[in-house]
Amino acid sequence: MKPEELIKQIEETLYSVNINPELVNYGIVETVGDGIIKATGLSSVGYGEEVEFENKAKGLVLNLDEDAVYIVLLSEAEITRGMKVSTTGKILGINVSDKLIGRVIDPMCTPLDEKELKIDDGKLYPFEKIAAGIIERSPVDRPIKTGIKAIDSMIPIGRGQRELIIGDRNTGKTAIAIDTIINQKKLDLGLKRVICIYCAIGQKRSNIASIIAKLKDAGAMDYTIVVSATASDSASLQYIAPFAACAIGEYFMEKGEDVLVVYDDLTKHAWAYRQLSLLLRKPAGREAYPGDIFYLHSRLLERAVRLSDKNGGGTLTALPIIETQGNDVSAYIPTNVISITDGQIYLEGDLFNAGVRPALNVGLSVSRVGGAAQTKPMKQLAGPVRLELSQFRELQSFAQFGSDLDDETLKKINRGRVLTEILKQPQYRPYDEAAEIIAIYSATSGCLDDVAIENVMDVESKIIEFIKLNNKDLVVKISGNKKLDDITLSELKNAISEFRKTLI
Amino acid sequence: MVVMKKLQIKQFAQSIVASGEISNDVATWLLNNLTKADMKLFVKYLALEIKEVTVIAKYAGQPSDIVKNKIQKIFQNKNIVYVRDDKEIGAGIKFEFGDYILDYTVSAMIVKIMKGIKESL
Repeated sequence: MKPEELIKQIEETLYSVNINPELVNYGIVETVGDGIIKATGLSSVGYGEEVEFENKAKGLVLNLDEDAVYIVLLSEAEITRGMKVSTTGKILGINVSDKLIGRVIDPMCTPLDEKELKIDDGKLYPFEKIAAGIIERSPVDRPIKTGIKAIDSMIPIGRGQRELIIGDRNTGKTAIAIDTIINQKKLDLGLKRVICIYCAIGQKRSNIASIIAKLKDAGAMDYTIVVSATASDSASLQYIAPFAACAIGEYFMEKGEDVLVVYDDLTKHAWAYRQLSLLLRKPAGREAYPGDIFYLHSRLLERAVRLSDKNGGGTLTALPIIETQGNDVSAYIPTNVISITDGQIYLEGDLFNAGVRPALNVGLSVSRVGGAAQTKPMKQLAGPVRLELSQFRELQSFAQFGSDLDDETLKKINRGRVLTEILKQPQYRPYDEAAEIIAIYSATSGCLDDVAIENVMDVESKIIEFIKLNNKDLVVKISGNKKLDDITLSELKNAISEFRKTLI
Repeated sequence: MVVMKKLQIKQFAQSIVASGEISNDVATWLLNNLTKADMKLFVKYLALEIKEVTVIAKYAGQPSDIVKNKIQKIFQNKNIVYVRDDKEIGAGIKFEFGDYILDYTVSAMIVKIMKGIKESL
């Protein structure tokens, strides 16, 4: 660059800076404690507005009293009594751009992956935004594949849906969410790519580090953003974390992209909000949660949407996670979030300990809108699975009197055992659509009825391998969105029988 | 002791500031009749009311009479207190009234320019 050009550029930069005096509304810090600041003045500040302290620390206004304003501190800074705090006229938000993909950030957009993050082409997205209205939405009709047989067949999730993952600690809730993120690498069924956002709230740093390592190993960080507010971060950061993740998701959604946001987990988010509310002296309600705890989660999850084609056609799918205590789904926060979401995946500790992984309780798990998003072959073949499993559970209690049971009942019990075995799946091994269909069909068609239970998983994976290698046309057929006719089904059955012959 | 309501204390402070002075009788009555909590509240409201009717004009150098007249016209019915602060202001003038600040100083402009350059780098 020539010196004249450089001087011209500097001049342009200088002239573009607005140096006109502005009327600044300010206040004085009265008290400071537990991250909550009481300030007087600030007569024109608004609820949810971002404020700035003399030392450039940022705060969020969360309570307006007659004589004072209560501010939640968002950065670690030394605030002293008598310090000036001024309004910014901005609703708290995050500067978003495509550069965030593959990065690990905190809710204030500070990079946590030791790499520089400079967003100069970003757009400010507010943390709090009113969800899209009815007219702007379209019905959920495209699937988001989790790659988990049990979920894709019985509890299908659609793009734009809110599906809760609920269960006790150590039952595999995060594993399902991570598997779903990893599975988005496969662009099967001709679907658009999915930008994934994993929002960690109140988790241990070590856990988050291992999740990031897993995502990196699986190559999932190429389309994933991690927003992290750990257990050691302030309650205020934990409180805004899911809103930051949602705001980032909305940026991509408004560009017409499909987005998946995992909120891991909203129980800890509710705890953080309870802590803040108690410090702000808001009246405490049931279990000491403030009265607006339902509204807190409903306004967050309501932002999950499938926009109409007129509005860009983007989608934002939400997978909130809730941790229960002693399998109690009737506690305050679980019931709140169950009623907000469009279904739940319920994981049970007993099943997990019995080796059924994912430890899905089929009876209590449901997807209210995802069925419409399921592909026709999957819908056709997965239909009987739920029924056969529930019949199996009913009959299982009689299994101990095995010798007294008639052949039909014994057959049903055996089929249920095979199905339960087929629906087991190791972690980080998501299946594609064809593999899922082959696995489910081989169980429901009775092709595996004579296989010893301990060999079912092994035989299943070999069948999938065999068909994918020898029947490529068939794999293409079943991966489409056309209902499978009798010819295709018999082809599938023949292929399985052919493989069985190789075993003899 | 007289127990006063919050609103009464506020109105009392407003009337004292409006009258521009506090007589010895009123001061004695306040000291003898208000509870400690009410007294604290009264002093707080008094300070706020004084802040509302006072404009602090911080300047560098010496403002001319023309400038002072202009300021008087802008802030009619307000008490203007001139404070000279060459070190902080550099040049120009800064007004503080109520809980607002209007900064016409060179130092504020330099800060804005620096911030602008930093952001565009």
